[in-house]
Amino acid sequence: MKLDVRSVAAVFVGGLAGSAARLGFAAASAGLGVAEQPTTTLIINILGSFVLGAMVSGGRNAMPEWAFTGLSVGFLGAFTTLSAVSADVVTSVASGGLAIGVAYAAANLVFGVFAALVGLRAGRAVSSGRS
Amino acid sequence: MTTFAEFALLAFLGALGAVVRFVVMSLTPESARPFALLAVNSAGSALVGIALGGANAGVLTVSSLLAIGAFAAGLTTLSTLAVESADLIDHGHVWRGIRRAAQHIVVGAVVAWAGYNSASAILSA
Repeated sequence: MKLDVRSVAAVFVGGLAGSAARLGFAAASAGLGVAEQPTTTLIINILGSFVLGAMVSGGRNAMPEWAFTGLSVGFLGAFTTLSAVSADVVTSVASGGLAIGVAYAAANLVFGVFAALVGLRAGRAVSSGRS
Repeated sequence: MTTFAEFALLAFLGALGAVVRFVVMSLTPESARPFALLAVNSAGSALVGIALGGANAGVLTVSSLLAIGAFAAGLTTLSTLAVESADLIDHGHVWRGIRRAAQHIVVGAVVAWAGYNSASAILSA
């Protein structure tokens, strides 16, 4: 990770887009009545973990380092979130749903890591197919 | 969230959080980066817990809670953690990978809960 002006700018722009995408995704699914906020956060975390896994193993050399940093640390870093998971756990436990809170945290852990693992392998397969 | 200006402000705060995370991670020696990520994720979770406690005590408005939540959401991340853990698992270090991810989730929830209770108690008094 190189700390220079271009990388910081790329992370800011990526972070802006990633945050907007997360907020937009949450607002759209709430507006359409498709999913409650914890479910939306879980879907976002699974999706972001898969894409980052694929990018890390398959796309690192396909773009300049600052662009990769902007997409990975900025966009996907801000798109996915741990604090919203923690907040949802607190809200759930505070309203007496300890088991739901624990299950929700575990789901983010298990599905997030599994999605990243699938992404890593998919990216590697695509990358070896290209070469 | 009602207006475009509010939406843009929340996205801006998220971007600010992402930049803080990037700066912290960049300034940390590579060997200590997993701990830096844990620190950043814990700090964001604690922040959001304190904010929820403040809102519970009636001190914070919904807008302030959303603003703090937006910054914390950009500051913390799950994808980097998931990929680091998956990479460990992929290289045969299954338990190390699971432990790495579990550490963040458990510590994040515990500090958020502690922040929530502390802020609720202090600010309600």
